[in-house]
Amino acid sequence: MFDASYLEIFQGIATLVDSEPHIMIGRIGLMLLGFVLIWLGHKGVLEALLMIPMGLGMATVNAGVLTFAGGKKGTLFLDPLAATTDQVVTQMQIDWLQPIYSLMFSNGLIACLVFLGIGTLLDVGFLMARPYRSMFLAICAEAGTLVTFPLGVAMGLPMGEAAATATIGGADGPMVLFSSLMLAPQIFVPITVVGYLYLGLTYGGYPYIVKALVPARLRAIEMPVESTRPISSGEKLVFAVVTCVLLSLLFPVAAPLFLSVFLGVVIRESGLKYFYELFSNQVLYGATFFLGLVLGVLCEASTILDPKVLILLVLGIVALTISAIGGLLGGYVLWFVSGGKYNPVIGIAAVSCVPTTAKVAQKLVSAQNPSSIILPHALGANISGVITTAIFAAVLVSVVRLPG
Amino acid sequence: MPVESLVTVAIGKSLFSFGLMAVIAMLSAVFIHALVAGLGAVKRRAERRAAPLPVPAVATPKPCVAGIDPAVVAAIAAAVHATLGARHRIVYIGDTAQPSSWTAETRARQHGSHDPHREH
Repeated sequence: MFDASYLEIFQGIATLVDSEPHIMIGRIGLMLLGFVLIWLGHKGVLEALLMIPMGLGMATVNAGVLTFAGGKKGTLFLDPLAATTDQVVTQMQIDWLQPIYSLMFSNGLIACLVFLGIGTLLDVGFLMARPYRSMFLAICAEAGTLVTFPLGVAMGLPMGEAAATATIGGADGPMVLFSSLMLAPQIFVPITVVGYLYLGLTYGGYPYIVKALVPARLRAIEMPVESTRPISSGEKLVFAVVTCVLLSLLFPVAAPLFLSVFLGVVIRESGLKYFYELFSNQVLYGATFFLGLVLGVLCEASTILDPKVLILLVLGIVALTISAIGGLLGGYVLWFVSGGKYNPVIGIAAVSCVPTTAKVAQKLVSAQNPSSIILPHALGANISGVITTAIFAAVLVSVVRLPG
Repeated sequence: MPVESLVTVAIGKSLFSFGLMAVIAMLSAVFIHALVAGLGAVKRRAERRAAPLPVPAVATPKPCVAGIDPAVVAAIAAAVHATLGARHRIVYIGDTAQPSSWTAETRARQHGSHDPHREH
């Protein structure tokens, strides 16, 4: 008979029993959270495309902790703490998701691929038909980032970490990932996970904010018929090319993201059908899948349980709530200026969670008045939100790095 | 540096960044407006040059929706009513072109992305 305890055979249980109490509780809690995310994704409360791979990754990675030679605990998924070239190359030969993490995630490539895919879905004609109103709403919907940055510093976060966390207020996942990689690489994992968790909540949570702040009779307002002329593909192309180059000239730090999103727009408007099919389907959904999976796998208890996570959770919800309120206040300003003809719900779509918030706006309005069509206005504000979020993040990255 | 000073610096940086973002965003809006107006003027001028000589007016039945034959409108309205029911209204009728079909596909995807179990 060989001498082995059951705990040595079932290492997931052994490492659970053997770990510090807070890690043990954290692992069990994260496994349960993973189940909840899968369930909420399946029910359609959260974004299923992101939450189902993320939830299963989160639950599995916290179950599958084992002991390596030398008594070190870890997983066979990835090691986000591998820093030197030797460590990274070694881990790539052991951990199956390490190549995705090291070559696509930690350098922001996956954010750029998601942005490229989103670019192919953006019809900038909605923005070009009504640029002033769309941009005004988008500026208002950045209020969350404006308020959360100093709030984060007041709560004890260093300047870079507070600024990176504040970008959650822009409600743009790839932008949060990008900003945290640039400003707070040491805690970019919890910031990004918190950011994406909350972005998944906007579809379920924002309707409550809108219903609380906009009475039913205002939600039912029908937008007046507009006399805007159709914007041609050529005009959209010129806009995308010039804006991409100008913004990159102003903010080289965000040039990869600008190129990604506007390249998507250019591909769409140029009629490059094969590229369009590739980036709007395989690349966008492939990148979204691996983004969700890697985010879930990064939620291993010993990695994610940082004392700062609680602060990040508070700041994330504050940022998104204030951005929503800011967008709705912008909507109220336009409602007032237009003499009561503008539907203030459109303001929520300026929070640039493309296209979720635009859908939320139309859904809420349709519930009150099925013949009220606000989607073109909402998508204009939505696309403007992407642009203002990119500009704000780029300015923040540049300004926070300045001394003083 | 004490926390109060750091918060003051953060407020300053946040306000500056927000202000700069707002200025650049509104300049972008001005640029978009100028671009749309400029390209629209060029397009109109090109259309005027290419316009055919006026022809004598011929009496034709008056279309009920911007240039569309009333019979076509009636047929589309009947089809929509039969398919979707009475709680819908027709907002726009127009020719489909290749970019429009892409837009329609994208819209369908945007509407349906929260319900991935259903075919759209």
